[in-house]
Amino acid sequence: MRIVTGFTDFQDKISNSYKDAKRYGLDNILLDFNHFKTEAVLEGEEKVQYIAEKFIHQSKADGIELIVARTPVFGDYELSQYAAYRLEEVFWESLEAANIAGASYLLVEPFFNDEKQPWSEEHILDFYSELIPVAKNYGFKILIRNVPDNYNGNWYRGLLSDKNRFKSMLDSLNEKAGEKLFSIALDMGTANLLGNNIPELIRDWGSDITMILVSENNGNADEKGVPFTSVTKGISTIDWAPIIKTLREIDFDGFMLIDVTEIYWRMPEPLKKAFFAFVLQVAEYFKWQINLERTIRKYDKRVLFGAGNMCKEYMEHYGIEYPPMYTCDNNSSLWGKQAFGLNIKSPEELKKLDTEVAIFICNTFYEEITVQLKEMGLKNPIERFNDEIL
Amino acid sequence: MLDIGVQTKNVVYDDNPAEGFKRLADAGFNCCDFSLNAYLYNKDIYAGKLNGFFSKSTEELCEFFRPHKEAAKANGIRINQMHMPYPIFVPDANDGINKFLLNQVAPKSMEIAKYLECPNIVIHGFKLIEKLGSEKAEWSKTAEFIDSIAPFAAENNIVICMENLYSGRNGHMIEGPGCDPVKAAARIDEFNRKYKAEVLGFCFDIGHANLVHLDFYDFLTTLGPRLKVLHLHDNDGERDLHQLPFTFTKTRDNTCSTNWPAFIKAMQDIKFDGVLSFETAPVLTSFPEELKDDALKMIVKIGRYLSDQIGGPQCQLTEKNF
Repeated sequence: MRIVTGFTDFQDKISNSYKDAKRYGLDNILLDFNHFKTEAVLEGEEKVQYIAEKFIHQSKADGIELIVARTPVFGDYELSQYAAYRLEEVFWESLEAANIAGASYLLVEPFFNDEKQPWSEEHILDFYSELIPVAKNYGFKILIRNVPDNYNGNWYRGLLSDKNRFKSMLDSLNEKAGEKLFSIALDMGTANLLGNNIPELIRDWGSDITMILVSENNGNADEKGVPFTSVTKGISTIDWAPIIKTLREIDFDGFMLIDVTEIYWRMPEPLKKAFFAFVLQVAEYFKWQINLERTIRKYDKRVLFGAGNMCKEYMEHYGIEYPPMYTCDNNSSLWGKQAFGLNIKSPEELKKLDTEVAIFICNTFYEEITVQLKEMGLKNPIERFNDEIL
Repeated sequence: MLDIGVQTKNVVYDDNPAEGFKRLADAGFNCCDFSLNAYLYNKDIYAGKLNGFFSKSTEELCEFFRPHKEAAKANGIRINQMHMPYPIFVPDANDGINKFLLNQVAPKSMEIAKYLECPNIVIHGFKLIEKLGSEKAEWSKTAEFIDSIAPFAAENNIVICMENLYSGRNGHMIEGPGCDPVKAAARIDEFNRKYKAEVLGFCFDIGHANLVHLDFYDFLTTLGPRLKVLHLHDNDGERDLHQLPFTFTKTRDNTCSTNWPAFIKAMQDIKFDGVLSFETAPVLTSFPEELKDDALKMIVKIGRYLSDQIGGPQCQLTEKNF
C-alpha cells in the first residue's frame, strides 16, 4: 500500500512543503493540476504543462514519483470568468502533462462542477468513455472518485456515488474498454456525508477500489479534516476501526491519499511543518493497521516479543494460520513457562535465530524494545503487532 | 386519485376512537396507518420497560381494538397499513425481553393486523451490524424473524413490509437496514418464492431516505411492484423530524431541498397505485391544538397534489431533479 500526499507542489521556487516532503522521505506525491490553474493558463497564455514543469523535473531529479495525477476541476467562479473551451483544453493538456511526469494513474472527475447546470448522466458516461483511447495511448488507469449529486443544496447519491449505480457504470466502462481501465477512488469523507455504511461500501466494491481518500468531517459539511479529529462528547463521527478492519479484510493494497490540503494551507506558517509530520504519522498508522495481516503473512517464520495481553490477542486471531515459533519477554520470572500455547524464552535466545525469522513486538513499548533488539546486534526484521483493531 | 392516509398517532385516542377517525374523515383522508407501535414505544423497549399491553390474550387485544375497527369503518377510513412495535430485538437485553418481543409482541401484532383487516404490517429489521460485523450477518437475523411470522402472513394475505432505516452516530445519520434496494428486492423475491405468496414487501420511508441521501428515483424504480406502503414526511437532511413535505430549504433560493420531483417521477414510472400515507404525527404536536384540523387538511392537500402529479402527464423533469 502506498501513501500519496496531496499538499505539496510549487510553480517557480521550491516550496517549504516540498522540502518537508523530501525531509520526511516521501517517495510519492500527488500531481494535482488544480494547483497549476494560474491566470495565464486559464487565459490561454500558457499551457498547464509548462507551469507544472519545474515541479515535475525537480521531483524526478529527487527520485520522487508522481505516479498519481489529479486532473483539474473548474467551479462556478472559473466558469463565469474564463472561456469554457479553454477550460476544457486545460483538462486535456493536463493529461499530456501527466504522461510527461510519468503518472500511471489519473484521478478524474467531470471537469465542470456547475451546481446550477450539472452534467447529465449521459454526459458523464460519454466523458469517461472519451477518455478510453487517450488512457490506453498513454498507459493510464483512470480512478473515479465518488461525488454526490446536489439538489437545491442537499446532497444525494447519484450515478457517481450510489453503491450499485457506480459499480454498474464502472463495469460498463471497463467492458467498453475491454480491460480493467477504470477503478474507484473511495472518498471516505464524501461517503460519510452521504450516510454510507463505509465498511459495507468497501466490502461491496472490494477489488474495484484502487485508492482511498481519507479525511474526516462532522457528517454535515465537507470539511476534509484529519482522521480521528471530528469528535463530539467523546465520540468520533467516523468510526475508523471497522473501516480499517474491512480494508484489511479485502487485502487492500492500493493508494492512500490523506486529503487535508485545505487545512494545511490555512495553518500558520510556523505550524505547517509539525502539521505535515502529524498527518504523515496518521497516514503511517493507517498503513500499518491495514497491512497488519499482510505483514505477518510476509514471513515464513516468526517469533513474538511479549507474553502479555497482546501476545494473547495475536494467538487468538493469527496463532493458527501464522504460528510463532515461541515468544520471549524481559520478565525473567516468565522464562521457561508457557503462555497462550507458546514457550516463553529469554530475549537472548533471539540471537540463535536465522536472520530471516521476523520478530513481532507484542508490547506497546515498541520504540524501547526496538532499540533493545538493535543493541543486541540482531539483523532480523522487526515488526510491530497491535491489538487495537482486530 | 390515489388514496391518502396518515398515522393514527396524535389523532385517534383509545378513550374515543370514533372522534379521531371522524376527524381524519373530515380532513379528507380515506386511509390510515394504524400506530400499533404507540402501545409499546421504542424508548420503553430499549429501557427494558415492557408494559402489560401485549401480555393480554389475542382475544382481549382484538376486543380492545373493536371500537377502533368499527369507528374506522363507520367513517370510511380503510386501515391500509400498521406499524409493529420496534425494535423487535434488543441486543444485550436480557433473554426475557427478547423472548417477549418475539413470542408475544410480534405474533399478536400479526393477529391484530388480521383482526383489523389490515393488509400491510411494517417491521424494522434488526440493527446488529456493529455486533455481528456485517450487513449480511445482520440480515440473516432479520430473515429468521421474518420466517417466524411469514407463515401467518401467507395464510392471512398480509404483507410484511421491511422499511429503510438509519443509525445515528454522534448526531450524524448513516444507513441502516433496508437501504440497498438491489439486496432488498432480491430478498423480497426469495421470501415470496419460498412461501409461494406475497409475504414480504417494502415500506419506503422518504424521510429516512433523505437523511442518508438515497437516490430516491433509483431506489423506488429498483423496487418496483415490491413497494407496498409509504411513510411520507420531510426533514432538514440531518434529523428525523417527520414534518410536512416541502417544508425545508437549504439555500438562499429557498427552494425545497428534498427531491420530491424524483419521488413523483419514480411513482409514475413504477405505476404506483397504493396509498400516499403520511407519517406526520409530530406535525400535530408541532402545530397548536387549535390548528390541528388545519394541519390535517394541509396534509390531505399535499397528498392530493402528489396524487395529481403522479397521475398527471409524465413528469417533464430535468436531469437536475435526479
